[in-house]
Amino acid sequence: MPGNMPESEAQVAISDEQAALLVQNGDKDKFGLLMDRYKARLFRYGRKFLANEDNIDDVVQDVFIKAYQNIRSFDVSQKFSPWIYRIAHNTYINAIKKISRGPIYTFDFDTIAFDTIVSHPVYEDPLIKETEEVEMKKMVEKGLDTLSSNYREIVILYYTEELSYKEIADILRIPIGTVGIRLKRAKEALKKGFLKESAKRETEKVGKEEKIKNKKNE
Amino acid sequence: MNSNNTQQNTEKAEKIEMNSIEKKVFDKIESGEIKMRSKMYFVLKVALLVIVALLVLVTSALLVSFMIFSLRVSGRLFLLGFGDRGLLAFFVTFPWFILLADILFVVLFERLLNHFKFAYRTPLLYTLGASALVIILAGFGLDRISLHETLLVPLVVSIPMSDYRRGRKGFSVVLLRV
Repeated sequence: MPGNMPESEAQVAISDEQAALLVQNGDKDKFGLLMDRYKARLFRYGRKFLANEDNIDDVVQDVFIKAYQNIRSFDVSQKFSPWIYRIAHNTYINAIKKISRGPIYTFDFDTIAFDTIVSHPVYEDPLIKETEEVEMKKMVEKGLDTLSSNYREIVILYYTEELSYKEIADILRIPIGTVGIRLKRAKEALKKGFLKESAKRETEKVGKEEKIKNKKNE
Repeated sequence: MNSNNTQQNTEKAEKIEMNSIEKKVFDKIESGEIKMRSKMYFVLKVALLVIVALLVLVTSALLVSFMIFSLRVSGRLFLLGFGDRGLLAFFVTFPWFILLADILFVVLFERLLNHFKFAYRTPLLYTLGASALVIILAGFGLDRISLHETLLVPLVVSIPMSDYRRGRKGFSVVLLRV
């Protein structure tokens, strides 16, 4: 099975889109190559997206099955990664709906996408991303759970999966400006939470030191 | 040291899991349990989406044109020239139900368009606004070609004289009730 073999040089030379084209034309083995390339990424995305889900492997398997069934709908002139992430996004959302025992469509102010109504000017600066990447990744690891679902997914896709605004817009089917504005708000929320946490720790530290000092004075 | 070992074990377990997923998917492909959908399936899906969107657009435009036609033929537009009372009468007799149905059609049209890249990449206000504009313009266009008059003339001609005497004087009376 190709999935168990390390990628040979010839396989590495093939792009995802070329591999998808070969699968479309009946070369099933090339689907193994695509699975090999995306399994770790989809696992990571799923683990963060479905934090409370035990059967992530079943859900990821479902993503690959859907990808195979629908591979002929993929336009090979486009990038492959947003396409498979879109399938993953839909599958994970369905998994969440299955888990939640309550009604699927509830009125939640947070989930209404008001930020898709008007356009937001946005500029994706790779320099800014590079300089703040390490700091942001740390914050994302620590504060992801504190974010609402709207912001959490964008942060995962941008900082963990390292996708561009355009790719994220295609995965979530929202305007590119909305990606920018959500990311900006998510960063602010993460920084706020991080500063709050640091201040709390600092106060606790000072309190402990004062207690030790007082004990020594006594 | 312990935490390092635990992490390594988790990573190993995940690798095994990932490989087993690949194997399971491949087994299903080989056994024919999962099959690739044909290109035609997706072409037909898009064609169906386009047809439904066009049908919604045409229905919505027809509703707009009917609304304009009913206002024009029933003479309710003249109510606007009769001050506050005329304005009130205009609002009371306005076909709100048709307008509401039409708004729903505009929203449905926009939702259908959202399956296409050009639409979901555009802010909602613009796609909704553009959809409403297209539908209103199409509605005015249909009104200009006197579609409803053409459709209703045979109906009016076929009304029996007895009905006419009782006061059912053709479509203007019917339209006032809309």
